[in-house]
Amino acid sequence: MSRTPKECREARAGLTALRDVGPIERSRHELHLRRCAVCREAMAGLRAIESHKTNVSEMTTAQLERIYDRLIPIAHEVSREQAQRATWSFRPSFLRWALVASSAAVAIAAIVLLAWRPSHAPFIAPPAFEAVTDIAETPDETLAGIAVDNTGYIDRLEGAVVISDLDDALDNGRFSLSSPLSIRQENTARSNFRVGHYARLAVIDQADLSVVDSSPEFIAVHLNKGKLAVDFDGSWGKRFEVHTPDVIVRVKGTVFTVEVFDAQSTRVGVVEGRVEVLPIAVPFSHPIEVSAGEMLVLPGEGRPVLLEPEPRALAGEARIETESPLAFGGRIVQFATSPERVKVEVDNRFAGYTPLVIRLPYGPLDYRLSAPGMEAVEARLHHEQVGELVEVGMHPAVHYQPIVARDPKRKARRAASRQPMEQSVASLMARARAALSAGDVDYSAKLLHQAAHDLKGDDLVTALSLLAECYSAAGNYAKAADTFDRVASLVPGTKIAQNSRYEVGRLAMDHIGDYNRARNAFTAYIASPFGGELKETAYFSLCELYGREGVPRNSLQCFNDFLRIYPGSYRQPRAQLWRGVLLQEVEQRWSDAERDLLSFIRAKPRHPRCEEARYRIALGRYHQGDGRGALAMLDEYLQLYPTGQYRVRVERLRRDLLRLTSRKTSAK
Amino acid sequence: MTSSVLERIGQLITKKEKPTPVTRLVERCREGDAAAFRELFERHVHGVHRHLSLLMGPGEDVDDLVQLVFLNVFQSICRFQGKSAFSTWLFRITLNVARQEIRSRGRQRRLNAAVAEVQQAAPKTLHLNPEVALSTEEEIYRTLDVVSLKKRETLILYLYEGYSLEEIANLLNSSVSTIGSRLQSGRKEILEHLAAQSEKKEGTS
Repeated sequence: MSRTPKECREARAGLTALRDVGPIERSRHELHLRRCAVCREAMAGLRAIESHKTNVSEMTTAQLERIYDRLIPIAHEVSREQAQRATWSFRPSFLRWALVASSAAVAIAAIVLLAWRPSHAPFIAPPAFEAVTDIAETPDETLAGIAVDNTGYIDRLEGAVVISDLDDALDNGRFSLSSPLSIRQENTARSNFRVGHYARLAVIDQADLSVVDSSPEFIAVHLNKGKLAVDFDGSWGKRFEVHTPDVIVRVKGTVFTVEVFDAQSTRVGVVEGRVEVLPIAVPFSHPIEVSAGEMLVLPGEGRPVLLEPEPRALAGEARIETESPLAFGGRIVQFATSPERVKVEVDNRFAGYTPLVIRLPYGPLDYRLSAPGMEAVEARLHHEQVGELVEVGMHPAVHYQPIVARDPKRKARRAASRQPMEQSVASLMARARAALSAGDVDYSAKLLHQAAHDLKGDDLVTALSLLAECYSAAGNYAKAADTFDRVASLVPGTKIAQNSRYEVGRLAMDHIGDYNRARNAFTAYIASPFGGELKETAYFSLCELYGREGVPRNSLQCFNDFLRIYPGSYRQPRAQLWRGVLLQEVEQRWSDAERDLLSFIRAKPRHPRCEEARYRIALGRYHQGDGRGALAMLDEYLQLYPTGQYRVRVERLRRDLLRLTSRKTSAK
Repeated sequence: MTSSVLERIGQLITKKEKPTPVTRLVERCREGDAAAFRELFERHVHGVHRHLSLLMGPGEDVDDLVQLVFLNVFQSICRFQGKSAFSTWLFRITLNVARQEIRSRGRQRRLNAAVAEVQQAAPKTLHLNPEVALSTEEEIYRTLDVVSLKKRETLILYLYEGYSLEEIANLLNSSVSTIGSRLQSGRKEILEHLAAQSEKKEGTS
């Protein structure tokens, strides 16, 4: 059987809902899972994630000691730095403690200082293509870097980079911004820096950068030449500026790039957020705001030019590997784009979303890249050679035309339209019924809507009832509820009207989420002199509705009444379950709740909610002080549901109960 | 609504079993008592380690983060007013440290993408390497990364730490309905992601 994306969407929404869905809805979802392999597999994956047993290793004593030993010197350093600043807020006695506690640290620090030979020459990075220096991985340095503001860290140096004016401030890749710093690097070089935990800078290619101002609240760097990428987190209350010979770029929290060219022109590109650019070379100029995706070009002479958002996607690489053991006679092809999540189709077949690694056979293949809001790109992949790169640019779409999938209902629609095309109401109704029986609810709804204009009396009621069913089947629940309301208003005081009210209640409760409307509809239905087989269902739904509305007391009262009015109902066990839960939550009547929960388990031993019922019984026993009984129920739970959804809570409760019991025993 | 079971257990233990209550230890720490800090550290380090291990996922060395948590405790213990339980306060610090670390990883990726744009080269995106077999736990945490940070931590607290919605709401200083909504939409996003992956697999097969 086929499935539609809409069906999948609804089923996924229903399956992940925390609330308890009704039996009809649940059976519909279960039916969908049987039919749809994708949803079934995804649901199995979700269940695997939810029932996964995490394995966290306990800390060893040596680990604990190591952490503590490293903690004290850093704590001492932090308190010293804070003491230097006027903003220190600790009590004086705390410093005394810090000094006492970190006396060992001083000795360690002395050893480290003796072992390290400071270099007074400018720091020169290794030449290009050698191993990347990744100083940030030193655990102590990383930690202190996060903890102490206004301290810079060199994360990465590639190529020829000269860092000067640091003197002995450079401490194994760490430096203070209070001392002057300048960076010069050659072509193909790259250096990454971090400042505190709020800014990351990448200086790219031939560049000349210096820190011109730094205080705890403000940092300014001057980029004389070259390219700089900045990721600045403004949520820490700091300010950041990039000065170039032509402009001052002020940021509050963003990712952006600044490029200064030899001709003294500057280009500012913003990836995320916004920046304010103040052209200082142009007298009396106003700040220009540059938003995400835009690029501002400030030529050496003339007015600044703000470019529209540029096409951002690059089908970066389609890299081929024939040597891979996974190639199996074909080739492994990697598709990468920026941004990601671009749809890839190869020879008109869906291949996946980027970043994508797939195995493809030999020979030229046509592929298509598409993303919402972008013009789709089609190209040919020859990839006869290993390492072949395919680069294509994707441009924002001028007009977005969605790809229309083949309509599965076209056949039914054609069958319906083969009937004589008379415009009489009878004909419209006949065609609507034919379309409805063929499963084409959209077309049927259209015809019924057309017919309803000319119909009166019972025919109109019939047409509207059918129309409402069509809307409901098509997922247009709001329209369906309105149409049912219209039916009820056309024939007030009849059974048709009452049944329509029930439908309105069901739609409002399960699909529209309008609980007020649902409550009114159910109440009217229950109070009606007609009502019949659905009255009990309506009553139960009303009780559930109170629970969903967040009025547990009303819900409890309603379930009490329900159990009194319908003692032999097939919904009795479920009503008892809910009453048990509510008795625990609202009134803390643990023994009454246990009675209800136990009778639910007895009546429906295979019901999925039995798991929760057992957990709740154990919880109730714990609250009543019956530790032994609670433990017995927890053991039963673990035996029955080794991977149950309450397993973690049950284990925690059991562990705590055992601990309490052993403590009591030892105390005796 | 009922107060949480574990809080009651915690209160029972605090009242009856522990010779030195946490509040006294905190006071002594403020007065500069190193032994008190050591005791506080030893008492809570295992819990912090467990929280961080679960929040960060497998393959992460959380020792540095544990250290950072206690460094923050050291720095801000004077600001602890005792309005909430010490464990709750400590948990929030732990959570902030974990958040910061996860954000920092994301920011490094964003910066790399920006650099790639300036260089007009393809960004070095994280490719799925079929040759590297990932463990189930790693796959699970990678799947959890598809949802936002807040939803991720809510899911972990609910699924793996076994907290109830009320407890999570208390820990994250939020409302139960918000937590419920985060949980539901997190589950839905994960399901959608898994379905997309499954579709991708179907497409390639």
